[in-house]
This record gives sequence, C-alpha cells and structure tokens, in this order.
Amino acid sequence: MRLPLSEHRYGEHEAVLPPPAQDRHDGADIDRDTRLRMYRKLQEMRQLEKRAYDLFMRQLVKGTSHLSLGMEAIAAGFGAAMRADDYTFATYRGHAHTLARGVGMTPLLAELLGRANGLMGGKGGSMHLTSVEHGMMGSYAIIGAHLTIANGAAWSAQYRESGQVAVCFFGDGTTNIGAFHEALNYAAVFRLPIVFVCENNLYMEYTPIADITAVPRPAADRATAYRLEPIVADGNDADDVYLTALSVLDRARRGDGPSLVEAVTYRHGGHSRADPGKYRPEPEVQAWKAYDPVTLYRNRLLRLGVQKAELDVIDKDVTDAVDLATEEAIAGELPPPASAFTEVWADGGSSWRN
Amino acid sequence: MAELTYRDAVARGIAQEMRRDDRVVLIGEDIAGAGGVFKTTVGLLDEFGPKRVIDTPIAEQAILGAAMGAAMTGLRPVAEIMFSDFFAVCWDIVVNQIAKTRYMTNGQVTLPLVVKTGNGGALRFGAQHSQSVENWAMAIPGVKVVTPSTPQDVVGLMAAAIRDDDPVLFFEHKGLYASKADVPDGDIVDSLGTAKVRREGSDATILALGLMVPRALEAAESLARNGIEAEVIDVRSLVPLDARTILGSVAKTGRLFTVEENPRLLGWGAEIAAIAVDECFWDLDGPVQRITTPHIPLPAADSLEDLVIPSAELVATTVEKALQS
Amino acid sequence: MTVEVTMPQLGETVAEGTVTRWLRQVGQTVGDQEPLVEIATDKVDAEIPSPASGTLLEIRVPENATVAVGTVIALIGEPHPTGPAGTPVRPPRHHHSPLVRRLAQEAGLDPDSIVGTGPGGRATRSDLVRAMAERTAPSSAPVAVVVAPPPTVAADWAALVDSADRAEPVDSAERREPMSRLRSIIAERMMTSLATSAQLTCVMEVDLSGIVRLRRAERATDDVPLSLTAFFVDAVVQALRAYPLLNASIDGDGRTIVHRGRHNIGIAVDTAKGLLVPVIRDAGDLSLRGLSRRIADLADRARSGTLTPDDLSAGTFTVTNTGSRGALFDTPILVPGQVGILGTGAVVERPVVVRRSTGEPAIAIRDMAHLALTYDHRLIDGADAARFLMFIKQRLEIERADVEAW
Repeated sequence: MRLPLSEHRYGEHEAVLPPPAQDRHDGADIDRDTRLRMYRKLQEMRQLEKRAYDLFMRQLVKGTSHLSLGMEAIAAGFGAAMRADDYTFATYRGHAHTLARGVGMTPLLAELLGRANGLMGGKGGSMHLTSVEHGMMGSYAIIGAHLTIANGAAWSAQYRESGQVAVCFFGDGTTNIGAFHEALNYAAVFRLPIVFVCENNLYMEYTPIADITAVPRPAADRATAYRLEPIVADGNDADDVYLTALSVLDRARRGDGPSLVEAVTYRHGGHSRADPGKYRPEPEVQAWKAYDPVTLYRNRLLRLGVQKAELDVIDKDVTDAVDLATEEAIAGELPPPASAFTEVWADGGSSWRN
Repeated sequence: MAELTYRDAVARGIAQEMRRDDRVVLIGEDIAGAGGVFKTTVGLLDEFGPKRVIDTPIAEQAILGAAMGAAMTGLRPVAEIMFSDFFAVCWDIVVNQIAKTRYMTNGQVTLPLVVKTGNGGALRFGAQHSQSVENWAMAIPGVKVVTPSTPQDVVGLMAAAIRDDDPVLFFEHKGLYASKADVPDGDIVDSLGTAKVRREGSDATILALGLMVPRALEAAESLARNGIEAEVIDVRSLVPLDARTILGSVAKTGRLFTVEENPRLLGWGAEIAAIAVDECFWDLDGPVQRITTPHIPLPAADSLEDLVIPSAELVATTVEKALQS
Repeated sequence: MTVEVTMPQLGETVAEGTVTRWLRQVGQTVGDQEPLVEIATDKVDAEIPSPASGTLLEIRVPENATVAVGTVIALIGEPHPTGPAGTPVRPPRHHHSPLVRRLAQEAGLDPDSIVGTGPGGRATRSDLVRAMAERTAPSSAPVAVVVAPPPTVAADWAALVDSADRAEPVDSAERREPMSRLRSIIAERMMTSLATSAQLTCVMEVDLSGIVRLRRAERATDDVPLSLTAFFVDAVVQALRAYPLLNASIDGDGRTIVHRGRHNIGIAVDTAKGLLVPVIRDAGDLSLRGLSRRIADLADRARSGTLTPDDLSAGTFTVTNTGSRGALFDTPILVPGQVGILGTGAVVERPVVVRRSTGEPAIAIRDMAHLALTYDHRLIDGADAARFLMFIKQRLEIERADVEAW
C-alpha cells in the first residue's frame, strides 16, 4: 500500500516482468520420456481449460470457473515428480491439478456441466474437483483451510509410516490469512511430510499482492518464520518446477519435514470467468503471455532435438481427447433428483431423524 | 459397577476405543502432558504414548484441519476444542470442510472423526467461555451432534461416536464434569440417535440436554409433589434426532416443554417444538413452551448467571402454571 | 352494519321494561319486522319486532331483567360486523386445544356444548373423555374425510425430502433383495394361517420299531420301497375316518363347519425354491405301496417344478416330515383352510421302558419318534386332538405286520 491511504493509486502500479531468458533450464538433467510426458500434460491442461472457457461462453458451464490458463507448468512439473500414492490438495483453481494426477477429461468436463457422469455426479462442481482414487484429495474453496487439512493427510502418512507426501497448492493471497500461518507452524513443529506450494501469480484476486503483503515475496519471505528454507522456482518453466519438486518431495519422504515453495507465474485470464482482468498493466500482460509455459516448453524440446512432427502428434492427440470428452460430457444425463439426498453420511444417506 | 465422575468417563470412553483400534488418535491443546485443562484425558498419554496422544499449538483451525485430513486418509482422530466457544475460531473447518466434503465429492471421502469440547455454563467463566453452542452444530447438515448428561452415557456415546464413520461433535458439559454416578464395568457402547426417557409421566413432556437434565428431573420431583407427573426425556442426540421417542411422549401427554441452555433465539428446542406442532398438532392440549436462557450474553457474576440459566425452580413453576391455565 | 335493538317505550309514562322472552337465539337470523322479543311493562305486554334483518349477534339483556327505556338490549347485523367505531368485531372465539377439538370431532360432539372444568370454563381433555363416556348412542356424525390432494410435483418433492430425512441408517453389511413369488406366497400364507386360527400343538412319542423292521425286510424284496411317509399318511387317513372333525374346515365367516368326506392329504416337500405341499387326493383309496409310489412321484415333480395346480389344491389335512434333518419335533403351522397338520420327527434309537409279557418292566432299545399335531382350537378341543393322535400312535406301534394285509 502507498501510505497515507489517500495517496494510494488504485489501478496504477509498476509492471512485474518475467525472467528474460527462456532457455535457462535447457541443460537440466531430465530424461526425454519425462519431458515428453510433461509436455503432453501441459497440452492437456491448456486445451482443456480453453475448452472449459468456450463451454462457459456457450453457457453450458454455469456458475463460475477459475481457470489455470498460463499456470500449467506448476501442476505439470509436480505431477511428474509425485508418487502415485502421494496426496494433492488444491484450491478452487484446480482443473490442472486434477488432470496432473491422471483423472480423465470426460468426468472433469462433465462435472463442470453438472452431469451425472461428472467426477462427483455434479454435486461438487468446478471448485471442488476430487478423485480420491487418483490421490487428488480435493479442491477447496475457502482460502487457507486446505493447508490445515493437507497437514492431516501428511500426519496420517507419517503415523502409518507409508512414505507418502502431501502436496498442497495455493495462491499468493493465501499467505496472509490465519490458516496459512497455523498450518505452516503446525507442519514445522511436527515435521510433517508435506510440501506447501504457493502459486504466486502476482495478484490476490483483483489486487496486486505487493500492495497488501508486508514482505516482497509472499511465501518465500515467510519461510524463515517457520524455520524453513526460502525456495523460489520459475513457475512457468516445467523443468525448474520438476527439479524443485523432486528435491522437496525427497526431503519430506526422508522425514526431514515440510517445505515451502514459491513458484512465480501469471494468469492469462482474470481471477474467475466473471473477471476480464483489466486491472493489470498491458506491458506486464504482454510480457507474461510471451513467457507462456506451453510454448516455452515446446521450444525447448525442439531445441533439444525433438521432431516437430512428434510434438504435433501429441497436440493432435490431445485435441481429439478434448473433443471426445466434450462430446461425452455434453451427452451426459442430468443427475437424478434423488442424488441430491445421497452421500451426506457414510451410509450413503442424508437422514437426520427417525 | 463403580462410581465414576463425568470427567473420568470421558477418558474412559476414549481409552476403551483406543485399546480396540490403533487408528484412533487424540489431539488437542494440553490434552497429553496435562491430561486436559478439565482433566478429561488423564492417563491417556501414559497408556497410549506420544505418537497417539498429542499436544498441539493453540491453533484451532490447524487442529481440526489435521483431524479432517487424517480422517480422510485412514485414521480415526479425536480432536479437542477446549471450550466450545472456540468453535467460532475454527467454524470454517467444521461447517465448510468437515460437514460438506463427503457430499461435494459424492461419497469419495469418509470422515470418521470426533470433535470433543467443553460446552455450557454455570461455572462463572464469563460470556466467552460459557456458551452452549450445540444448536449451532444442529443447524449444519453433515455433522452428528451428541450431548451426554451422565457418566455412563459419556462412555457409551463416546464409543459410539468413535465407531461411527461420520463426523460427530461431542458436547461435554463443563458443569457436569464433577458429577458422579455408578457405571457398569467393562466395555460400554451406546447408540447415536437415541433419546432416553429418564422419568416417566403422563401429564407433561419435558425435554432437556446436558446440565438441564438433572434440573428437569429435580423440577419433575417438585411437580410430582403437586400432583403433576412429568415425563423427562434426555434428548442426548440432536443429529440424528430420536423424533420417534420424543413425539411418542408428546402424543401421550399432550403438553410439551423444552429446557434449553442456549439463548432464546433458535435454541435446539425451537426446531423440536416446530416438529411437534407440525406432527402432533392434534395431540396438543396446550401451547408448546420453551424454557430458555434469555437472549443475552452470559454474565460473569455468579448471582446473575444463576438467575439467567434455567433453574429447576423455573422449570417447575413454568410447567405448573401452564398446566393450570 | 350493526343495528342496536333498544328497550322501547311502551307508553308515555313508561320508564323501563322487562324482557320476558327472547324469541330468537344468538346466531339465528331474523327478518326485518319479524318478532324478536317479548317485553313486559307495568302497563302492557308486547311482542317487539326486529328493527332490521340480519343475524342476532348479541343479547345484552337476559330474560327477566328490567332495564330503562333506551337501553341497548341486543345487536343485529352480519357476522363480522363493524362495531360502532367502524372497527371489525370478531365473533367470540372458543378456546379449545387441538386435542380437544380432535377428540370432540371423533366423538361427534360439539366442544362448545360440553361443560368445561378448565380455566375460563374451557373444555379439557378429561371433560371430553367424560362426555364421550356418557354418550350411549354411537356417533352418527360423519368423520371428516381428508381428501388427499392430487399428486403434484410439489407432493413428489415433499415425499422425496421426507424419505431422505428419515431413512433408517443402512448397515453396509446389509443387502436388500425382493422376495421371489413363491417365497412371498409362503410368507403370506403363514401369516394368514396364524392370524385366522387358534393353533396349538399336541405331542406324543411313538415307537416305530415295528415299521422300521418291516421296511428293512421289504426293502430287500420289493421294487417299490415303502416310504415312512406312506405309513404316516395311511395312519392319518384311518384316524380321520375315526375322527372326521379333523378333516373339516371352518368357512370364511368363521362360524360354519364344512365337513369333508374326501381325504386329500398334503405332504410337505422341501425344494430348492421353497416349501411346496402337493396333495394326494383320495389317499384312502391307495395301498401302502400305492401311497409310496404317489408320494415319490409328487416329491419328484415338486423338486423338478412340474406340479400342476390340481396337484397343489383341495387338501384337507397335511403331513410334514420335520424330522428329515434331525429335528425331534417342531410345531408346524396349519395350511389355511385345514384344522390339522401332523409333523413327524426324526427316528432315533433310544432306550425305553417296555413291559415283558409277564408284565415286568425292562429296558429295550427302540426306534422312537415324536408326533406333533397342530390343530385349530376353534373347532378341535384338546381332548379330541389327543384322542386323534393316540389313534395314530397306536396304529403305528405294531410289532409285526404283513404289508399286504395293511
């Protein structure tokens, strides 16, 4: 904030620019297969989110949606590094994280459309995508709450000595809410096997994060308060995310406790579908659009000798998959009325009296 | 059979279940090393060790969040919120997360957890440490709510709550911690969703919870001396609600009274009164009356607190006057 | 518009008047100028006409009361009239609790007509109960019929909500399965039987050593094995001839005895799908071998599911072998429409006391079984049942026998 408050200029602030070079991690020690898998995931996330936007414009997706366009590398990088039985906890901006754990496109889209073949039968919606069988332990819509819940999953893994790690994704705005601080302290005190990943896209909903945070790096500058190392990653470079992820996951699995990662990235769209994002300076938006995680990665692969044709095949495969999923989602039936009353309790019902 | 205090019954119920199932774990502020600020968890650290009985920071959101995350992934946690007033600090975790996640995920997530808490007044702790908030919990779909009033019920309902696969909020009454009664030896397992008729009668039905149960019973004795036989029902479980037992009694007596420690508006009895008027209308021989604390924060001074929380005398005079008018 | 009826001046010097008789009651209508009340003064008695048409809303001055000329003695108007100030006046409301109103309606009583002992003269529950007891004539007041509204979306929704709110918790170890047709029929028959007859069971022990020996001997020589059931059926038929009441039926009205001449003995057969009871028609016409053959045939066809409806109907008495799986005896349930059923228990070798021909007791090992006769006490008394069963027992307890002469 510029103080006194009467001096604060809403809507005018300095642009925050991406790193200058896109090839810093060309030489990273990552095998070709892993890289191609990550590329495919990036494409899936990008194309699916675009399709979700279209469906919203066609009013087939109702309510609101929070899209990950521009932020895919974080989900893709961690997704490639995590073990199949690790736990993901994400926010309401969770479509990419759901795909990252291997959940199918049809149930994902069908959930957005409120259909019976949706991932949760239409009962959760875009903001609560969950697939326990894939380790995707939920998308949560109250800022900060799921950090405390992710701690519980990590505690359970520690108690059972299973070697599982919980990875909890959240935005820059979360670093100022009470639950964030409770969760970080709690995780550090009990040395829980958990990784906290702050996806810093520079804006807390409509306000620049710098305006309302006491420190310049919203997550990294809080780490030492909890006796953790400040860790910053390039959130738009999947390789950087991947290597960072391997390191912090390993630390947790070894029993050395939690980590807090700040991955810097940028949203292509507004906070939610209702928001055209006009509060961001144009040079900033353009610079980050040029530092697009998907094209950045594609270009790297080309530089590293992957054939364009091979990448085109991947792109087309993904398009076909998204088209098929769209068809299947639109063809999905509406949820039966009785399903509104199911699954409040473990016995499948919702009764509160005899 | 042996005499047991209500507070010791809490520890006994938890211990019983922790012996049976090593997925049951206990967390909360000062519950391990100190045995709980109200001494409701004495001996548990010694018996079950520091991996299963854990002292946490003062961080109610973190405590309940941890319980939820652990319940989702294979454990059966019991978490303590020291004073039920503090639910306000972590109410998001209760109502937005614990209560709703199974439903929103269409059954993918199961939450076999128990949150135990010290509820209620009459201990001169003042407005922020004396509230009865089980009615807040009753209003939220997705959590079960129990409020035992006797040591035996504490053991049995704690066991039932821990064995239940759904989230259960277990409201202990601080004013009853020192109360004592005979409790059978051995394992005790009760059922959620069941009310108990503590005293039979045919002239009036009096519903009560927690500390109000002994007061209602005392009132019933006084009423009996004046020729009015009141039926006193310990509701015990707000969700699931034993409507059958309650409405059966109303149909028999035709007069319904509730004794609620909650402030006037939207106490637990308001809902039950509405159900009774709807479903037992043609059995009612007079207005349904709720005897409650007035709609004020609770005063700290002992004389004022005793004035505002319903007393046995208030219950008796209210019922007597109603039956005679 | 409420009209006041005032005490008229019935003479120049008359200052007051006495109401001697009201010709209309509160709530009744009266036409303009129709007679309303009789007034007396010291000079003259007169019938006073109503000053307006309408309903007599209130009588302010009762009979035999004297008031000054001009005093308002009654009000006439419409129900819910406007009072003097133009404000709506509610008719007096009677305070009856929902319970009292319901009880009154069920008894066909007007709650207002009951003398109330409650506060303010209100009728209480006990007043109603007393009034109901005092009535001798049954109520002829029609009970209000609640017409169910036609099913609508709202009604369907309400039903859905209600069934979800109060569903009993489901135990995941439980599984629901609709009953098969046969099972449903058996279930219904059992309940009907128990609900419509007065069943009890008389038990006796029977020494089957002779029959066992006979069967063993015959088995070696004959192609048609003599089934044990055949012996029982035969003994039953003979007993029914001696005690024909056990072959009767009680008509649907419960008051008529239907005597039946034919002996159609049902035999219970346990099949994979459930219990079936095919009937041996005119069992008395068959010899032991004939019975054995018929029993075997019916049992086979029962198990293969090829019985005809004729095979399963018209039974008058039933025999059931409850001992085939080892039970000593049980208490069989009557087939609806019959008054007797004989259950035969497992044949067990046991030491029993026998009398030698000298009359001295000795212990012998005999093949013993229990016979359990369930009978309908509406028709059959215990002594008759016991005599019937004793007949069967004696018929079965043979030392030696010739099958051909059976």
